[in-house]
Amino acid sequence: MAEDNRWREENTARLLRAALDRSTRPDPDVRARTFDQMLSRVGHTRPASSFPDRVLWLLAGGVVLLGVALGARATGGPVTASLLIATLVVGINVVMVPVAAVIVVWNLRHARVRRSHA
Amino acid sequence: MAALAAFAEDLRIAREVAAGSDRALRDFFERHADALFAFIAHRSEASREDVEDLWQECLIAALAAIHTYRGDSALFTWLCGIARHKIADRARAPGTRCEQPLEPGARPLADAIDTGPLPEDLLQRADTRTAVVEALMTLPDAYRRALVARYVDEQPVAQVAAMLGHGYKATESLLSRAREALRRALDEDNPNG
Repeated sequence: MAEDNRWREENTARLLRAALDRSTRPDPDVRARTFDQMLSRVGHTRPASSFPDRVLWLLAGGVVLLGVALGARATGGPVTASLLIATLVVGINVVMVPVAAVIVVWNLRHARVRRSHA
Repeated sequence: MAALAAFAEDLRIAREVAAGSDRALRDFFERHADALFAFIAHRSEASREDVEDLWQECLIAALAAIHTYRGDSALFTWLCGIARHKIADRARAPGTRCEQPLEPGARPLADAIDTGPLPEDLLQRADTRTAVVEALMTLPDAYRRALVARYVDEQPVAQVAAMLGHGYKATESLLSRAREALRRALDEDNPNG
């Protein structure tokens, strides 16, 4: 290892003392208060867990395919148990769309109000 | 490689803070808060009260946004980004004196550090001091602690060695490597370098 010269050591010391002198350190009371303030907030800043995008698209695709299959079967053929289940699944999804929209809007508004109070 | 490892550690701490870990928050605070204060003090050149306000604002804002940290840069660099925005916002407010414009092209620190005594006016410059704080925070923990203990707190090498749990010679060698790492970090930090 090459030994650095005496200027590097002296200059390093002067640079560090200039950059980190006492006036650039927080007051201990302010420091402790700030940490406590952060500590009181740490549990409240967690991001809401979101549904994975890929799974969401797969489920949406599945429902659409099911709907298309039902449409193809609707022209004729016997009413079977699987047809009833598929109809139920697609029907519930269609009905839930406006309900989900209301929940999403309510959540967004609620989050905005929480942020403005924070 | 070392830089990537450092970011991975930063990312781990950030994720744990975002998940609500008090212990991770303490690590985060102990590691970055004082350096961030120094960065804001040099960068803004504001009054001490304003620096304290800015510092608290930055830390609270950082906590609120910690889940957006992706580990693309050092966590301290990310914090400095928040601080720059806060300082700029404060500077735009009427009646405040904040954020002196940094003079470009006058920071040949890494070159000058080996060639003779650094001029006093260079040491007094806000951009010099800001660059040193930023460069120091990119160093591995042991280097940073050793440099601060030896040159800021002016502890003898034997005491630094005891703090680090190394022998005297090993600490001298570590300090030498730390000085070289700081010089390189200053070189990388210099946009004109």
